[in-house]
Amino acid sequence: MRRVAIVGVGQLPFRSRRPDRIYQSLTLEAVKAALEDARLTKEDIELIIYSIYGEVMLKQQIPHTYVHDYLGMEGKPSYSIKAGGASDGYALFAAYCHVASGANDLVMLVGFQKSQDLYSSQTRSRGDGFLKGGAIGFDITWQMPISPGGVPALLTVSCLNPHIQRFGGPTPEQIAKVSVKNHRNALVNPNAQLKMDLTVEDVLNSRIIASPTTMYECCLYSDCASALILASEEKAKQITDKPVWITGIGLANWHQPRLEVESLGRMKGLELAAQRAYKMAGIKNPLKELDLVELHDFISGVEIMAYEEMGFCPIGAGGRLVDEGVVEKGGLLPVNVSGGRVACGHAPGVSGISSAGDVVLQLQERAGERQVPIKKGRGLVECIDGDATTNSVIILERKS
Amino acid sequence: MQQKKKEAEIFEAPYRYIADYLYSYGEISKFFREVKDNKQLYATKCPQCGVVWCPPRGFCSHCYVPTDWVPLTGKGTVLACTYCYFEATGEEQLPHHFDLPFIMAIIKLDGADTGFLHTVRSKEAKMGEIKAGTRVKIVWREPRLGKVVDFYFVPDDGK
Ligand SMILES: [Zn+2]
Repeated sequence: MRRVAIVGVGQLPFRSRRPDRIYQSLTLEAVKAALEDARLTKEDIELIIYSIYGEVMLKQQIPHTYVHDYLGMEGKPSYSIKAGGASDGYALFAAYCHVASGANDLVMLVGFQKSQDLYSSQTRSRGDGFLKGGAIGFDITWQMPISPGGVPALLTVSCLNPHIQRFGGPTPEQIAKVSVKNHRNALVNPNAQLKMDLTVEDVLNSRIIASPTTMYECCLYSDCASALILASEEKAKQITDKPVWITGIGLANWHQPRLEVESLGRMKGLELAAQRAYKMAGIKNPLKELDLVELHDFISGVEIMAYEEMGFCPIGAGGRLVDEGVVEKGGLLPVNVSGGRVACGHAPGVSGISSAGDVVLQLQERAGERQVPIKKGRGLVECIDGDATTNSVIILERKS
Repeated sequence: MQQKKKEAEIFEAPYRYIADYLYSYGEISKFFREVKDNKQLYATKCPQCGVVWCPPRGFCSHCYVPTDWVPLTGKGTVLACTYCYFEATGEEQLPHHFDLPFIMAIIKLDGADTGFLHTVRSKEAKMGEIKAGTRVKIVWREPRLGKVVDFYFVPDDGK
């Protein structure tokens, strides 16, 4: 297998709605930014892999073909990867494989998603329209009819609450602290959607969505697009003197809705994905070998569970990392310096590509006000979907 | 100012995507026929490994062999739950209205090996009243349409 580097980052701000852009032009802006970042032209790109979460939300089957045309990429192949809320991580794996195998030298990874074009004409609400359109992601026979609470309720009942019962934590205060941390981190991220300086009390006193998960502990929904350019070693060295290498990548599915009793309260797929990525990257103690982590905090409680499943601490001890400030921006292992899904924003299938871009910028020490110290030269990106069924962990590395 | 002007020029058009289905429950048809006609819950048991699936599966996902039907009592134990204070309103896909808060729970039905995701109703819906370990029993709705919402669960007072 050949070494694979990320040589171009294209990020856009997360915004709740972008009525000023159709999804094709929104994507073009992200692609243009990535090409400019790598000082390449679209002619240099051999293949585009698209990450798309929901066609229903885009009101269009096979939307990537229309984007590909809009990008002026005729003659170049493209396909889309769909793996729920972890489509971004899985698509990154596909793009990696194209370059690692020698099939391609320069591949672009592109995610785009709009959700707020959905609308309920009954209640005149975009939120209701989105929840209804998004509900088709649930199993139509067994889950959807009894899941009007959406992803926060499903994650709370199938992951967080059984975890609290089995392992005695995290506490409501620890969960709220994670939300406070991510909101505070978002204050200095120009791409962040929600900028609020919250207290633990604010979070705990906000509306309960699905007990104990409160409103400020739930992820946002955004219209956004993002792009990355992946290159072979030879190409990477021509393009940049700061390539960031993909040194570990692991995926695993674990069908949470099957709810087998022994996996309740765990995210076994995430544990497996992390183990695979660490093995490939040669990581033994992630807490001490990483500079930062960006992960999918659909609900803040699940961020703490992710620390545990990814081996930053034993299972059940994640709350301590919060209390001890380990995951704060100035801590040993800062998590979600961008603000995460609860404050930076969330466009499924796009967020993880933007997160990988964030880690690349951090490792290259060009993350501006949100820059963290880079001592080990390694970062981690985690993308999971809304019920922890699809899980991906990617290790990025800047080798001196 | 420039941004405001641009926003004002944005034109929005309605669009409705309609796809009606009349879909087959295939080899698990018996589950919904029994729910609708006989107020009886069924699970499926793998003749090879013995795992009892509910929701039922016509084939065992471990052994790939066809399963056998076994009746359940409709009683069970809550493994985990959450009180939901939020629902998407105007949801015409849902034949029954959910009163807030409703309790979403993973229930281990007596005789089954898997968790069953469903809802528990209780008059007071007091936080903490329904929790892991709470015994529940099935309540059948009228009329039943052959859907998972044809029933729900309530605390089992032993009566
Ligand atoms: Zn079997």
